Amino acid sequence: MVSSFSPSHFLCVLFLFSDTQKHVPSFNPYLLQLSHELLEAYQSDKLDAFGLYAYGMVLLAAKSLPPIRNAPTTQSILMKSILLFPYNWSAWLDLATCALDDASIEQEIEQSLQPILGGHFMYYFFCAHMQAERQAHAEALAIYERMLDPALFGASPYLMTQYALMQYHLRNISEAKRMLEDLHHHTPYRLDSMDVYSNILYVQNDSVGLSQLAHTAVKVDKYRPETCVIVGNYYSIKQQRAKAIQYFQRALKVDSNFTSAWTLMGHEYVEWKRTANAMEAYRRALHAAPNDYRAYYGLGQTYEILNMYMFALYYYKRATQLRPYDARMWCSLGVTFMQLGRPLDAIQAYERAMEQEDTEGVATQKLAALYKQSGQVEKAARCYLRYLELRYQATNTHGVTADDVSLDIMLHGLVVDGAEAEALLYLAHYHKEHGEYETSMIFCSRLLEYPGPEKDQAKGLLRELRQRSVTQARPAMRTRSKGPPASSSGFAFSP
Amino acid sequence: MKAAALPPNPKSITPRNGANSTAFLLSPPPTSSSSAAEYYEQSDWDVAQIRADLHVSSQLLSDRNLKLAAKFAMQQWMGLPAQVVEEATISSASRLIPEELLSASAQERYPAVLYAKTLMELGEYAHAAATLSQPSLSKTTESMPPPLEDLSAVGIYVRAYALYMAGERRKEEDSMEQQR
Repeated sequence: MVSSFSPSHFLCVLFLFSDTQKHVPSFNPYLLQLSHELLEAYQSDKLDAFGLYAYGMVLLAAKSLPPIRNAPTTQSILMKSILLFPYNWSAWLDLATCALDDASIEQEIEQSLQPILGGHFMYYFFCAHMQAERQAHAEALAIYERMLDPALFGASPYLMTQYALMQYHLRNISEAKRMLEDLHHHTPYRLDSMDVYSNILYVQNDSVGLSQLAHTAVKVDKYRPETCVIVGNYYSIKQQRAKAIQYFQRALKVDSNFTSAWTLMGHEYVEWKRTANAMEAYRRALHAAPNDYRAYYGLGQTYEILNMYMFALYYYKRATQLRPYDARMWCSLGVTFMQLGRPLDAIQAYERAMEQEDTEGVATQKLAALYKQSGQVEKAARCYLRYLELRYQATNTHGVTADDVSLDIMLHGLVVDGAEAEALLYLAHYHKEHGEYETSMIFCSRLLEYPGPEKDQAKGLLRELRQRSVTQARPAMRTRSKGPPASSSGFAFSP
Repeated sequence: MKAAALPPNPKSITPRNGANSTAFLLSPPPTSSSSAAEYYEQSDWDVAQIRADLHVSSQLLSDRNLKLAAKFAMQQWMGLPAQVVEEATISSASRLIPEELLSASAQERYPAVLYAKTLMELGEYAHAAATLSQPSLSKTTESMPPPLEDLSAVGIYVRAYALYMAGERRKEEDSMEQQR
């Protein structure tokens, strides 16, 4: 959709490499030796399922070393191990790591494993895991739901946690929270993924809940990465930035691949206005998990703060590639395009955002303003109206959608701030241009209590409309807007 | 009234919550039966057999010091419905777990292998690997000599896993040194 850009893109990539070199990774000194020894054992057929798994583990770790002649591929060894003994989840996880690095392996896996293990529950778990990693959360959820059948694995804590995590990633936060809360209540000693529960509590600003969770977690195991992240979130909600970061760092000391601790640390540094530290944290997150959209999004935000919009663009684009169904990614892309003076690309980005759920109306409003700027009147009007509908739905408490009420009721149910005022005025003008004076007056009148420049313009417009409708015969109108036109006698005209 | 071309009404577009639908997504084979219960009656979903397999597997995984995999297997066992009495006569033979794997540890003749296993369980990884390696000519602990001759499959596994873990520990320690 949006055009690709080259010279600055190249610059971004260079910048990226020079930064990651600050962190020099250490290595396992026995990998080369093990690669040779296990190759020989493999070729002499001396490896059982577990020997094969150990060899697979070594091959995976030795990926950065130069390959040995005649050595088999990592995935072939792991699959051999799995076919001999399918209950070693660690082998499946390592196979997943291979496939995530190289997508072409997935078809090889399907061809080799599905004929024999296609009906086996471990294969199902594996497929669900792969789907979740590939951001296909809804598909993974379907598999987990089937497995959670009470006749099968209905009480498996692993499955329940995975189910909750999928809901979380699909942004069904209340459902995810309910499940994690349940799990925590029934098995308070189980800390797996409780850091995600703490994220939910953080986002909902529930400092009491977070405090309770932190106390329990610390009593169970102070040194687990999940506990450290929970405590970090607790300090973050209390705005104690330094302590929060200290705990995220502690989580990483225990497990340097605990990606969420890196991204949370990045967010914390951003809040603390330490952009260089934030970027380092996000980059380390990417080093641990190259497909984590939060790190890309975080980097985009950090560069945006620094007004380095070309870099921000690169990272937001990566985020939208990873989560094309998330409106926030597209919105950020739109904002960046605007900063770069590319309104047409911005329009495309906001249109993509609108296709997803834009519950707050952010994308819709920006899109309307852009349409207005580029003179696409019909689209602008439609968007402004849609924006008002979304604001109505977001602020009213009865779960009523804008479809269920008339235009008049909807407008009066709105809280009018600057953005709504702009929309109301535009629509007032729009309907006037189309000769729909009744409708135009409805919009004008809603602006009369608004303490801003739009109010005066609305008053002027109302005066003009009143004159016109007096001198013109009133046609039987069916407007495109909501509900029946209100009667004009209810308006308060001020001199 | 003008019927102009408008942007798509967002309410009519369902949000796409999955990955790009044209990209390959590894999935379990499609099932012909519509109800889950029917599908579960097929052999691979025989709960009694699954229970027996998981029981055996978790013991095997623990024996080989694969603690996380053992925990995973046990969690799924916990998830199964309560055991029905008639299941007691299920044969433990599983077409999916080779017989030799189950008896391998018990049949191990080399005491060094069993000794190395206990060291591995205590976290003395390099020590465990050294026990199963040829005697070192130098007193150095810098490199590990080649494996002993004629190690069984279990012996090869224990030495390889222990040596790998020893290396990972060195890697962690080096990285901590750097951070200071």
